[in-house]
Amino acid sequence: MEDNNLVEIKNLKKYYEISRGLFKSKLIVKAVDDISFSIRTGETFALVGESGCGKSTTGKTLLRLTDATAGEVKYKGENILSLPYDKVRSLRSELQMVFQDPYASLNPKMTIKQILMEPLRVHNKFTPEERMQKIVDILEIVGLSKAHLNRYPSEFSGGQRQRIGIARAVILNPDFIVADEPVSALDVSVQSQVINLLLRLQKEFGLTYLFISHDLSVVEHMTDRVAVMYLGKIVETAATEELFADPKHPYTQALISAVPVSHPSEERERIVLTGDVPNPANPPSGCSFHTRCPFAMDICKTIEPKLKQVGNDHIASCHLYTEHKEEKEDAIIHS
Amino acid sequence: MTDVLLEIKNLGIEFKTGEGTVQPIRGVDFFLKKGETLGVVGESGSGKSVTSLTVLGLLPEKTSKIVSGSIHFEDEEITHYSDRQYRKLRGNDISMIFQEPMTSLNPVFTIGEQLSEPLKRHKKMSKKQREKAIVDVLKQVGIPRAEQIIDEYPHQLSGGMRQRVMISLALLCEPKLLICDEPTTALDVTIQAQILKLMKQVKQDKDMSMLFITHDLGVVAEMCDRVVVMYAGEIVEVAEINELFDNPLHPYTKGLLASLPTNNDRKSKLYSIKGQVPRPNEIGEGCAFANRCPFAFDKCYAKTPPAFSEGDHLSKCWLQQPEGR
Amino acid sequence: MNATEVMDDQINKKTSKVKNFFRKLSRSWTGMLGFGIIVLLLFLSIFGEWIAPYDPMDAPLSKGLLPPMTDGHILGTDQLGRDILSRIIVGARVSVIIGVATAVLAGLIGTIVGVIAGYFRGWVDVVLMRIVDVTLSFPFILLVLVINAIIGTGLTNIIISLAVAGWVIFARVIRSEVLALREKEFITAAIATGVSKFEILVRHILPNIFTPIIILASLQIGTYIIAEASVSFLGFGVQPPEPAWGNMLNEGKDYIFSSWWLITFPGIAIIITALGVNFFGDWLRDTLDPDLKGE
Repeated sequence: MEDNNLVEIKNLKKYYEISRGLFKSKLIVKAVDDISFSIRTGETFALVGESGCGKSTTGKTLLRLTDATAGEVKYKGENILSLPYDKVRSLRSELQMVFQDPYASLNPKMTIKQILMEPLRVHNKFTPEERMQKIVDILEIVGLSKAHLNRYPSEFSGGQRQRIGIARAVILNPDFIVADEPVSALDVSVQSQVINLLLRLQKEFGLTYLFISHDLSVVEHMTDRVAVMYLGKIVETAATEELFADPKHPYTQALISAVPVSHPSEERERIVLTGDVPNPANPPSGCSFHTRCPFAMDICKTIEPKLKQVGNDHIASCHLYTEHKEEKEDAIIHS
Repeated sequence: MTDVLLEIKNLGIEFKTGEGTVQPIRGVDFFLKKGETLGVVGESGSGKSVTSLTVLGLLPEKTSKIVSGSIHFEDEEITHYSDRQYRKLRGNDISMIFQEPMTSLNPVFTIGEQLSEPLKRHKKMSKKQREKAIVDVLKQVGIPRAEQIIDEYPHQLSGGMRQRVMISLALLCEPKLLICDEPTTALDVTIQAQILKLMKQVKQDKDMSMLFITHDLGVVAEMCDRVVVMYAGEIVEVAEINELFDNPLHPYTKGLLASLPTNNDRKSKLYSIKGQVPRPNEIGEGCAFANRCPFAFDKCYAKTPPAFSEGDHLSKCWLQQPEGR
Repeated sequence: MNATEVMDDQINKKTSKVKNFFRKLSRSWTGMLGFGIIVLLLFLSIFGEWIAPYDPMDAPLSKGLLPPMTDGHILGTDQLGRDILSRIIVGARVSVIIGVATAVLAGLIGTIVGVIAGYFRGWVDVVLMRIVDVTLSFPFILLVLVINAIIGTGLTNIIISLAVAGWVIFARVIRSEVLALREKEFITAAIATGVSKFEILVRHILPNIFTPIIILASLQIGTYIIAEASVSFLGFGVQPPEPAWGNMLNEGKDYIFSSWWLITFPGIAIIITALGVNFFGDWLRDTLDPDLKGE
């Protein structure tokens, strides 16, 4: 199993400091707070959660687009976070990213040709003629044509722009792509086209995806394993089918039950959470979900639950599945 | 026709843009019965928001005009209303909830000040009565500490709370019609579930009618009694909610439903509608959906189809023409 | 589509861009007016010597202080008998040269400083922006005069002193543009592609600040023309007998009560020019950057 991991994330932390003026202490926001997971070669691993849970920050941090506070990200056995920056830059041909907003992620002053040429030029791949051929090929693969080469992004619709963004990410034949909400800014009728494209490219190029999304129906459709994040922490990880069939953590249960029905006659037993997501700068003590949890117990307010095996390849952090006494003693010893 | 609250007939709007004029909606026809929740579903550029803004007389005067049709609210034609008449209508008989709760609240006024605005304008009340009415309505929408919240500013509240404030603002004068323009799109799923539940409950308590505009078919399935499907500025289908999901007639509706991940096998290729949503200036003769339609034939490109009805189920598609092709 | 077709496509695009420019211009009368004034100004500054009815330096003292419309002098003559119309026409060149050259010089310095401060942040940013703050705290004209007094008068020196006092506006605006651009997702995308910092600056940042630079420069030109006139009026700047609108005002001020035309017509020329340049700059801003449009 271990050898099968393409990317391994260990104890990754990303804290932001917010200064509140000269004489006040700095506020620390734990956007990503000590998370670990691994992504296997060829799979699609999903990070799900609501806005502000740290899923996008995780994606950016593990590609070193922002600096991590602590932890390591091992890619093919090498820790990306401790490599010198020049090494990381050349490694980027293997690690790519697809962004959420197809309007913001393409330079408005560059033509499609220039946008797609850039990765090839930067990593010095192929001769000039081969580059042109490569660009034309990739455009056809993502469903555009050479007629578009000299156009600017503003001449395209959102879906077409996202195809360009995807073409830019796959043109270097990467092994690993972080897709940060790649379809959530698109029209419904175009979303399915882009999902199909991502699925097809994965097969064709043998890609591994980290798929960041808040849309559970898309996650259920196209991913292999899922990690659920809440306030900077992973609260549950499982194989996709298992997670949707048998969610263990109360937050995951609520999240899945909150998805709108797919047919008006469908009756769904819904766990409607009370209250809002707490401020990440001032998270609750103990289990960070206890303020909204319908099953909260006394222990949840004081002691943070650890991730525990709750099934085959299925872990969750919730006191419902731990022996409370042991945990308590454990905590006392450690404190 | 006394049970019809809002009726829009053959509505056409023209926008002046830098490049010339475009018609964001053409020949829009539908009605809303008292006590019903009517969903208006469409993608960006379908004209669903333009339609709702027209009902409230909120289109920019300089750059847009109504080129055809009428809007009847309680049997009164309102498209010719003066500003003054519209002001009386807005907030009092018809209220609206917008997508982005942060930008629709004024950041420099407290929640209490914003909420007292419609009461000052439409109802004669003392200051005490007003405050009581505001606290009541805030409690109705599930806002804790209502007495303190009225002295707080919008930025002190979370997204979900702000949307609750917007809903309470819309409810203050007990309107007959509540227009909701993507009210949960900017919210997280767990918060969306809260807000949808609240809106259902409020609608029942107040016996209101609702015009619910969204792009999310799941939300429609949860909230609506009937649905109007819009595409590229036209209505393509109108049906009762179960009928629409069980027996969609228009190829666009069929395609939308078929492309939902939940209606496809896991990991399989999703059904998808080919092509892109047309821009307003790209729409010409014929059916606007023809270039993306898998069933399109010659007639579709030549002539815009009229509405064919099968009982209460309308669809604008030549395939529905009774005598066939 | 083969190579030549692609070329044709590009050529068509170019011509349609020019067409597009005029079509958009024709929709705004202020933009048209501004553009017209600028074209006239450029025309005068190039061909002024051939158009002017008289030699602007020719001073037949006997014909001094003729009022307008006498002896073929449409706008009259000054105290030395020089034709005012001819001096205004030829003087346009000084205004155009000073406006354009200063905008280019100040824009260049300001852009370099603004980009460095905005892109590299840190102590460089702090130091550069404090310099900008200090410079901005002096009244513009005063600063120009001080620099002019130090380095001396004349066309080149007035351009230098205007640019030294004027680059700070560019630095401020460009810095904030760069700061906003840095956070754009396409910059993150470029980093994720592996593009180096220098290339990001050249290929992604610079092309995107070109529009604000052009808009700002066009609006600043009017300011520089007025500033030159003020400085020349105070006796610095362009020295007589070289015709410039500012020193015409200076020379005419002694006759303000007896011969009004000496200062009125150069004054009107300055007003029209500044107005025209600003009209055009405003239109340019509204067209190129609708986000900035003030309501």
